[in-house]
Amino acid sequence: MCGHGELGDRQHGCCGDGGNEPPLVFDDNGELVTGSDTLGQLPTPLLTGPCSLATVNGSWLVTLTPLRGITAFGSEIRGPMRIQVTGSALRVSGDIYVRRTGLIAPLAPVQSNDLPPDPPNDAGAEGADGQLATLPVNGAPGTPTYPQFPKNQYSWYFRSAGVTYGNGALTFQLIRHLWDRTSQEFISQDTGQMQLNCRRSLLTPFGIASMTGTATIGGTKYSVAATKTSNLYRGCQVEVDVMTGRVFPASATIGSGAVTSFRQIYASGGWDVTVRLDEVNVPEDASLTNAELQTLLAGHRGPAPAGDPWRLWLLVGSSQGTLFGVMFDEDSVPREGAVGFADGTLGNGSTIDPSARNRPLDEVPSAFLRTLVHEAGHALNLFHPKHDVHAPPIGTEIMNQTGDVIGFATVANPYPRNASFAFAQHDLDSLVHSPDPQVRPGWKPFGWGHGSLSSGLPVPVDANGLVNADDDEMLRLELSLPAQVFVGEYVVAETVLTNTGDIPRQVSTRLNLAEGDLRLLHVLPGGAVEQTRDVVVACGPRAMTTLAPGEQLRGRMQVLFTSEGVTFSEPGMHIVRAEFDVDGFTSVRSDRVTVTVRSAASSTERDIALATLDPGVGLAIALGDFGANEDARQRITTVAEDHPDADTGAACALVLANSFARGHVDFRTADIRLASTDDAQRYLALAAKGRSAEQLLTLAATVASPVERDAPVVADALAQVKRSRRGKADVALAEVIAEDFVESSAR
Amino acid sequence: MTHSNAVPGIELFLDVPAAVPLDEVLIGVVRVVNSGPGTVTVSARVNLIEGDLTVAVTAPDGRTGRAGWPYPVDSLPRTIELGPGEALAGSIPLLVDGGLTPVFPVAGRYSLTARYQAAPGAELIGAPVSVERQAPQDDLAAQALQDRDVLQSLLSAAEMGQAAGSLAALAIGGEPMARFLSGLALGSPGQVRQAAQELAVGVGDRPADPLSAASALNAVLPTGLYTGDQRREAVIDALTGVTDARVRAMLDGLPHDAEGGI
Repeated sequence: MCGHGELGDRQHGCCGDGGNEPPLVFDDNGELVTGSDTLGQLPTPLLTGPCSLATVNGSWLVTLTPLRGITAFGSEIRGPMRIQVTGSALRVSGDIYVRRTGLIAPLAPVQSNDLPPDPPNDAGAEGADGQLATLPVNGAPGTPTYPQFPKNQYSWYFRSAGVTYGNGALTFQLIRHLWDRTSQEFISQDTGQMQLNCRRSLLTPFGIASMTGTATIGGTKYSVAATKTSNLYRGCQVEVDVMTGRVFPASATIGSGAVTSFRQIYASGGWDVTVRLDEVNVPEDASLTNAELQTLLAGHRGPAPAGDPWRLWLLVGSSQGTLFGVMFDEDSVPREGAVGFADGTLGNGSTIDPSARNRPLDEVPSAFLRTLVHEAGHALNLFHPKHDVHAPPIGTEIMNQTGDVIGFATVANPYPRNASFAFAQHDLDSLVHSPDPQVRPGWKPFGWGHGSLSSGLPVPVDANGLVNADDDEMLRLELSLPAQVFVGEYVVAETVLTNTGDIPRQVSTRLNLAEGDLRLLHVLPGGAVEQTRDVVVACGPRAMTTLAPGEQLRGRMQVLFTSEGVTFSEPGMHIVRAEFDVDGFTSVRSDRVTVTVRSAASSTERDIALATLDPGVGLAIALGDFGANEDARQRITTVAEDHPDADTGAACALVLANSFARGHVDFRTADIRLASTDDAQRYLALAAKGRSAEQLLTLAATVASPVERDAPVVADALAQVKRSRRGKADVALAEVIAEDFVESSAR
Repeated sequence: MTHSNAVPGIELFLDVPAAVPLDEVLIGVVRVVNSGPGTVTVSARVNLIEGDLTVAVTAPDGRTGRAGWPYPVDSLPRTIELGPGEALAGSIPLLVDGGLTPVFPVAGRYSLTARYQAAPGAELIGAPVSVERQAPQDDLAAQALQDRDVLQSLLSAAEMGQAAGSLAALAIGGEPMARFLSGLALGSPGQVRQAAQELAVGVGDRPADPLSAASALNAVLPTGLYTGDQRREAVIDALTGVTDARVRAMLDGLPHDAEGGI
């Protein structure tokens, strides 16, 4: 008999698709609330019936389309949505990736990375539990897929905060966490609601399930479409390489007598993991350091498949001390590799199974399999329970260390028979519902989510909201900054916009920090994020130019003193990224550039820093003119005259040259500063001494404010180098810089 | 003073220098002391690697964090018997949190509290100790000790990523512990042996301190876990003539008389 309101029956399809029942209500935690009837019965189309909960359960590809404010330049807003139905709970989470297409609707079909069906040599793809069947089941395609998109399109994560499901209507409140692509952190959150209707044809009930509906998120209304992709929630490819003479445990008999595998254990955690046994003759090395493991990862892992799917490299290695395994990959693209040490031996304690005592780990398949699954779990950012900031209980499940599991063993129930070959609930929740950046190998570092790295969020990038428009794939923006500077040093940034496509592009020429199209996103050593612009922001029509395929547009700017004040005032590692609004519709971002900032060390550097850290001096350098600030003039003069060999000294000399080349009126005080051609020439000569024409013009064109196209120092510097005996090529480069200052041209 | 809720008579001590500049690696020594009347069995994993030991850190601005080990490992339990009055000593590198974020980012006074899982369900908590992290004398060395690749290399006792240049500079001109660990990471037995001998016999104003060499070694290649590892040999050779019972005990992973301190 089919019990109304009993999820277990619904989940197992007792009532089948097509039943009309009162809605089930789930609270913030996804737990079933009994006796609720918050939604009335919705009208039901003819010849269709509501989806069963088993159909709703699984991985979906969700696509959102804004209902208002659609521009001619469409965006693809899509990503994975995971709906998890358990015995008494229903939870929803999802990750949204946004890609601006630049196309007028209709949008291109959404692509997702497929996990291939089990390869012939799949090491443990028996699918005995039926989770991995190839026939269509519960609305999922016979070949499951898992929506996986490029990291640089990641925009937000959402999870349900109260769900109802009844008569095919799935309704949930949600909390959205907005992602900042520069700091690679979630920086703010808002709320929303999504309503989806899941109905299936009564005539062809075995097709792929889909849902449609609406959402209101952060004040924006969307139409929503979702297509089921799998009965599991996430997928990952695992490549296994084995050192000569060691064995990967394709399957193992566990304490219950059942046979399990790497793939099955992950399937029980909601993950579809395809295991591919690749090399079985990785050269012998009796003891492996972490450095050697990194080298093996780099040298033996296969090339990335098309579409950049989630993947993990697992080594069956020899040994490292007496360890059983380690997730060793903590480089700049972390959590992509882990190792199990086949030569590690179990002890001879009474709580070790007699057949396993003093045996190498790879001769005890269940113990070794446990360790390998455990290490792979670290690569998915799972923690040992005893180290997890959420303090889940220590037990015998997968993510407990072998030592802790042995602590629960007895003579009658020894290790590894006492081990549970399943993930604890806390880890299951994380595997299924944590945001993609947390779990995807190669993204956030280990410790983000369950360790110390997950605490706290950096300040928002921009009070006006995030710029999550997608990078234009046909344009490339490059940012150059010195690798190391001292606090107070004059710093020049260069940006180059290149048309990498095969058609001409109309692009803004405002490749500077003063006119609003370009900004720097600056992550300080402490993790705070700043948006960097010029101290002056000019408004006006956007000047456009045509950038032919292969052509470049170049901009140069000083970043000693910006809207942040002294940009690099804090010693440590700074990360900077440039973002350019190409045409009002499309943005493009540079790679991240690291600048190491150190304290002023030598007496020259300390003298310079003493002057340039003064806000008045900084402002004068940013404006290219000391105006009426006599104190700033004196400090700049000291630096210029005492340290002309340093670029900061030369930049100060050029500020003086620019200032003295023209008069200045302080309208508040009616003070007038008269031009002094002699002084201007003297300081220009001071800056020019020992510098190439290109170097001098680079400094002159960056000292001058970009909004003052007629700043005399640029023209004067160019005239100076033309008068002097310099090489033609050098002068030609200087001319280009001067021309770019007046108006950026495609070259 | 040690707080213990489950192992009567067992105490935990964390010893650190009173002041260490930021261009030096801070190594702590952890002692598990049996001050009770009977023999007890405790975990022998007195290191950061295997996860029984953690150190809570309170920064000068009041923020709290944890000193840890960046690589999660799986390993067997190891235990040892401590007779009455005996102590087991281990050493730990206080460099990073559970990831690769430096645990002492700025100068100032930090408070450190060690916790040790002496047995299943039995956690010892040591009394808080403080250390003054002083401004560095060598900014470049201090920066190097905040670099991800350098940190990985020092902790792994192997050269990682792009750390070679910084390690070479530290191995030649760094502070004693940084010099020692950099030599170890570079796989340079000569430099390691020399750094160990300098620590053991003292150089210039620096007094002989053979325990510091053993501590530095055990911090990254602890006895018991890495016994027999070739990287330990140069140091053990350099300390062959050292008869100090505490040093021998630390290198052998054996208990010593707790009254001798450490």
